[in-house]
Amino acid sequence: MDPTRSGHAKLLAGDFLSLAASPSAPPSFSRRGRPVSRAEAAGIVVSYDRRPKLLRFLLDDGSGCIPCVLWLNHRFLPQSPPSDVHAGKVRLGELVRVRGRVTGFRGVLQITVMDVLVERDPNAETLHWLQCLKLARDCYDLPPPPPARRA
Amino acid sequence: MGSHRMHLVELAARRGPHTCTRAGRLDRIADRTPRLRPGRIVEFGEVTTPTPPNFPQSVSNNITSYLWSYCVESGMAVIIDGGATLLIDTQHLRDISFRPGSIYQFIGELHISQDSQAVLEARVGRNVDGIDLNLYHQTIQLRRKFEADLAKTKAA
Repeated sequence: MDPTRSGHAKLLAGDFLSLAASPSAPPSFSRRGRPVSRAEAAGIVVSYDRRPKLLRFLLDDGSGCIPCVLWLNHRFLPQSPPSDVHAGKVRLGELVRVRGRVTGFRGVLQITVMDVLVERDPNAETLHWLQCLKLARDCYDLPPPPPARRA
Repeated sequence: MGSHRMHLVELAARRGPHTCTRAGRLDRIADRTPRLRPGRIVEFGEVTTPTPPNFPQSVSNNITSYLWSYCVESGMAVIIDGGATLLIDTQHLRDISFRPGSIYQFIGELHISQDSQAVLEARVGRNVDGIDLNLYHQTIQLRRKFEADLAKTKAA
C-alpha cells in the first residue's frame, strides 16, 4: 500500500494547499498522483476562532496559511487526550504542529485536527521545513508504487 | 403568516439549499474567519534598504533577528542584523516580553514611512532564543528553490 495513503504526509502549506481533490464522495486528495488522506503541518498560529463546538485556526508557515478545524464536541468518544486539551494549547503566536485528516470545506483544503503539539524547540520550525523538503524529494515526488498483486 | 413563510423560502433560495444544515452553519463561521496572507519569510537585507524595491507596502513578511532596543511608551522595537536595523511596531502584540539581545520572530505588514524607513507592523511575535540562525538562513534558500520548482510544476 502507498505509505502516503495511510500515513501523515509532512507538507509545507503551499504544497498542502495545492493538493488535487477528486470529486468522489467522500472527496479524496492526491499529490502528483499519490493519495494523501492525512497530513502533518507546523506553523505559527496567526488567527483563531473558538466556538462552543469547534475551534478554527490558521497556521502560517510562510508558504501559505492552512485552515485547521478542531471539533470540540467529541468529548464522549474514546479519544486521548480530549479535544478540549488540544484546543487549550492553540494560542496566537505559538508554533504548533498538527496532525489530522485532509478535508475540504467550500472548495478550500483544511486539516481536521486530531493532535496538536506546541513546539518549544526554537529550531523545530527549521527542522520541519527540512523534513518536508527531504520527504518531498525522496518519497512524495516519486511515482506511486504499483498495486500489489493478489496471489 | 403566509407572506412570512414566502419570505423565508425566498431567503433560503438566495442562500442556497443547505442553509439549515450543519454545513450551512459552518459556511457562516468560515465567512467570518479572516483571510490572512502568509507572512513571506524574508532575510534582513531584503527589507532594510531605504526603499525596498521588491516589497510594495502592506506586504506580509516574516522576519527573525536580534532585538536591539524596545520602547515601552511607543511600543516600537528595533531589530538588528550586522549594521542594518528595522523598526517593528509591536502595539498589537500581547503576552510577549522584550529583552534586548534576544532573538525574535515577527509576522506583519511592511510599511514604508514618509522618511523612507521600513516599519513592520507586527501582528504576531515570539521569542526564538536558541535558534540556529545559520541553519535557518540556509533553509530559507532551500525552501525558495523548492517553492519555485513547485510553482513550475503547477504551471505545467
